[in-house]
Amino acid sequence: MTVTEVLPRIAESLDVDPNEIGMDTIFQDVRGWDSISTMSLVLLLYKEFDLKLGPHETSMLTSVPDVIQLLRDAGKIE
Amino acid sequence: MTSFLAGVAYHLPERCLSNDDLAALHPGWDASSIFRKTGVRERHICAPGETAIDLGYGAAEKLLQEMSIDRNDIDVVLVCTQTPDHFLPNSACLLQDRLGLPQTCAALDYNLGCSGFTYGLWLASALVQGGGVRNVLLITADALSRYCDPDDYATMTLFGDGAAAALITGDDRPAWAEIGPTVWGTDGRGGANLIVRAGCARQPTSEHRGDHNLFMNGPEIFSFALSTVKEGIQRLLDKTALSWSEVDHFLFHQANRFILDQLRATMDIPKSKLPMELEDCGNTSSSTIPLLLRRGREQQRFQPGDRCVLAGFGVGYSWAMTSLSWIESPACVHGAY
Repeated sequence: MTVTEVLPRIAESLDVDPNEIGMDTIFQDVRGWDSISTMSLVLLLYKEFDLKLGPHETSMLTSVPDVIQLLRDAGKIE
Repeated sequence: MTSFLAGVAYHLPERCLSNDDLAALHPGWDASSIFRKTGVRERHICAPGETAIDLGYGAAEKLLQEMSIDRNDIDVVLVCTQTPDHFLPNSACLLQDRLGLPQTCAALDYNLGCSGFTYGLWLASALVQGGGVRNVLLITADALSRYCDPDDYATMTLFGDGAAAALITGDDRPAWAEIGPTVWGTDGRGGANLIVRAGCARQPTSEHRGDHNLFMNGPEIFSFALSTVKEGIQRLLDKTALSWSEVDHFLFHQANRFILDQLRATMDIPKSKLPMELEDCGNTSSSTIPLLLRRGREQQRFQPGDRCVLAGFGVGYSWAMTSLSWIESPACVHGAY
């Protein structure tokens, strides 16, 4: 999967319009963002990328660049 | 030797706190949104002066009376709580006296939360199977409302107070179910994600009020549950030589509706096999699974031969999964034990 393919997946998991999610989006700025939104991202990483986060790693999910970096480090995206 | 679950009772405090009550106190909170996210419409909360151990007493007294148990037959009382009346003595000793249990009874506490009931079944079974005892009274009791910051959405909307009592026995008296194998695990790296930081020896007092309250990092707990529960159940199924489809009931700790829905989806478990009992009581920590068992039996959900998988997971991190083989016929539910 490529970076551009990941963005719509993130938008879908956060239940927002894909246009609201860009390469530099900070999640705190996303409409309706709350702890359930973070859980939805955790679920996305688990289901779509088979990525299990260790304790304290969800605090790293603060922005789109964070998620991209996490996926790159795990070798899950190009 | 085989060990059996002979009966379960629970006790919730009378006082109720609804989502409407919470929304009235907090202008930014929406009652229907709380229900949609958590699955909780109201939770029972201890009255001033009422404690978790009072609730544990209520549950145990109910069980002993319902089952007409001779109190002299209780060999061990195990109490699982994270909200004891005192640092010392332990709650089990106080309940031994209050319940009129014999002085020949062993009494000990253990400190676990959401995995407490399944851990307790394992410990009690081990005592029955190899410890030279016949009857273990297992009590789970917590009143987390004492430690919730009234303004903390994450904990106030979720937790309720409650207690349960169960009899685990080696006797072939009429029993609900035979207790099967258990698997367990621990990852203390997650300790800081569900914690009351201050009030004990490490940090007796704190200038920050929040340190004396229950702190919960919900996303971390969810991430832990996703990574652990399925794997734990798979280990249990390997041990029992059962497949996923051969399990009739998945009785999970009632963390919240979102977590339960997602766990069910990731494990492809039919909705009918994974009951939820959150709406009128919230997450009662170590008492959610015994409450599921009691209510499921009252609803005549269990048939003889049914296989149940019980999964407790949470604070610690700690987890334990146990299997039960149901024995009792639903026809006995409203009759004598």
